[in-house]
Amino acid sequence: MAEKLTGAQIIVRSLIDQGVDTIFGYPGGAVLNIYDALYAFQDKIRHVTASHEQGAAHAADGYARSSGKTGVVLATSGPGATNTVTGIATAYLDSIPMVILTGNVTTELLGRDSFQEVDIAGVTMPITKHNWIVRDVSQLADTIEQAFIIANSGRPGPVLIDIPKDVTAAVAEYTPRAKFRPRETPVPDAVGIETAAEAIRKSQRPLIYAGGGVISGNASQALNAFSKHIHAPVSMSAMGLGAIPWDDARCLGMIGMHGTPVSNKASQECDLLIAVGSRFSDRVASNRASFAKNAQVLHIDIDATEISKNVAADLSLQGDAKTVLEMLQNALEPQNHGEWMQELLRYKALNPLPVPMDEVKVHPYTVLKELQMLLEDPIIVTDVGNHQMMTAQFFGFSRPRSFLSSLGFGTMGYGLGAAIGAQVANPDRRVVLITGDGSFHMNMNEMAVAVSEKLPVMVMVMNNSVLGMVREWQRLFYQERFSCTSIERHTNFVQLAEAFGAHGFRIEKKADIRETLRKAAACGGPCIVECITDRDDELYPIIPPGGTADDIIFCADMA
Amino acid sequence: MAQGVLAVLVSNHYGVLTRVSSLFGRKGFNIRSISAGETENPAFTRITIIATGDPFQFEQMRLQLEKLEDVKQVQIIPSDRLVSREMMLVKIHQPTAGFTELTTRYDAKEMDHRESCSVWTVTGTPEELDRFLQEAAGHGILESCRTGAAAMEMGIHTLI
Repeated sequence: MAEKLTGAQIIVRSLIDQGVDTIFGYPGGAVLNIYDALYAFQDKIRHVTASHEQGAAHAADGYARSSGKTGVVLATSGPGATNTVTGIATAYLDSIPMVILTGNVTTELLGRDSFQEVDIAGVTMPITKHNWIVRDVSQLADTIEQAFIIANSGRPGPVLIDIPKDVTAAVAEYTPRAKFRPRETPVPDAVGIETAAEAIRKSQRPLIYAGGGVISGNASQALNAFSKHIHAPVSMSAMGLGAIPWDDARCLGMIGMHGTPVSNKASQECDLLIAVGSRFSDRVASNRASFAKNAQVLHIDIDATEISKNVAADLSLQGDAKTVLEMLQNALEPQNHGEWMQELLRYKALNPLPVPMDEVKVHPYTVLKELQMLLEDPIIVTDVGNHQMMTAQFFGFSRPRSFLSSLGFGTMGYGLGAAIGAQVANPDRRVVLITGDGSFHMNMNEMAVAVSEKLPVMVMVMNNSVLGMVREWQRLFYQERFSCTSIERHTNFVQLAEAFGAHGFRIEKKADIRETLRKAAACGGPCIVECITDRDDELYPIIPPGGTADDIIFCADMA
Repeated sequence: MAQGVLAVLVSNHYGVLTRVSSLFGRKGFNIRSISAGETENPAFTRITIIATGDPFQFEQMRLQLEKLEDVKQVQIIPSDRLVSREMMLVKIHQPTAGFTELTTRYDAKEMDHRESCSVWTVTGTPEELDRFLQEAAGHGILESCRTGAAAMEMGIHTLI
């Protein structure tokens, strides 16, 4: 039944029709009409007001990654819109479905350098799947429906709709719509499946390399069943962590620059590399020409542009990860690769990730292992730096959507917003942000939001007083010329937490870790736990840029 | 680096040409020429791109273009079935007899003559226009302006 509504009302009603119950945003002049329309639907849509639009964008991202739903952001024109840009790029690089709505000046003022005017559609063209400027109110409902379809079809990603203020005030007919359905995805043909199945049958040393596509395609169970069926070990990119439980016998852990020695060894020695929803990024295939050089490559991806983009594929299947894995499994009899698996398990036992031995100092490793023991099924969020890679290495993830991190774009300052979004989407799960003193200082203003929205996010600040990852590269590759990385802030994190209205804790000795974590987890609200760590707690192993598994640096003494 | 021709059918919207050209820019693909115009169906614009790259790069161009929402169809026109034409305006100061001979060979037409300058149109394949410019170099070209190529495949096959 059609009814006459203003553009702002159409926006809110369309969002509700598309299944939205949560928005992350920040009010402003150009979106006043939209906020006015939201006022009438407070029972249907929860609006989380961020401290800064970047925080809102990261929160929508964390909400989407942890739940599989679409993250929705609402921001005003000009600076409000440009503040979302880093958050949009972060979501674009990691293929996270988001719909960003921005207000703009009235159509009549567009193009005149008006107050708070920016061409945000132009700015975000390279970091969205698609974007629109809606100049006609009668196009609004269609555009919003299309936005959800595009964000969630094929390889997911962010889309942006820019709406001039007069369009939100204009009136048009609105007919309620059904919730969007993503477009059909391509399905490989029988010949393609049989060719791939034959390559798997012939393989003596297969390796599965799983990426973020397994997580976003909800293909984790299918992957587990498939890897068991063909008796193949599984390595994961950081985006793929949680695709297979960390303690599964077939799990070799993370692959790539800071991956496990056994994963990188397997990538060199396998005769068939089965890449599933992964894109051979430079953090995995640092040297594209010699990555998996002894293997045939079978690439399974929903996005045809990824196949052979970075590493040439001998065989490829375009489609949804879950569907393709199930088709392959049905085409194959169970395989056995006992000798290959034994060889890898032996190598894994002899070449573990290096762990710290110090009995007194606090090391992120110990904090992570204590957290893992203390918390049941948490969602772990990180910022960017050594703490991030140590979390990827050492925190054992048991299921998908439990590790949220900016892995493609590497956005320092991503974590707190993302943790807030994850906690909003998952009120019954414990959300923990592992961050560093560098990253946390970037966007810690969002702590105010955790307090006002009563979100009991635990923030673990690994405070080593330096920008650890950059400093490590300065040590390894720049002759210890530590330019500008010894930041030596004097922030009192306990007082900072209290100033925000949160709880603050500090851990200075290894012996205090367990008890303090227990207290922090039980404090009943958001908290900051500062962990005083050593500036020389460096991240190993590392494959230097351009190197291969032959070039792994295992420890500082080798560097 | 081989040269190839892409025919791209897109929605006739504001900003679509920007999306296509900026995609080529950020992916590092080389465009030699690009031309665009509305088709017999005003819902569509047809873009012709001449680019350089290896076969793998051309395949990436096609796939990347297909990912754009406004792109309806992309074809890499096979070189043995290619019809391509481009038009060029050339302004010459006091044309000599040699130049007149050249214009005859290339079937160029004089559009205007005043203030001792003449403006010519030359039509041909992009390679013919390249050769014309080389040959005309000694005749004092004041300015030249090319449209970029329009191209389609011979025979029954069409876009959409």
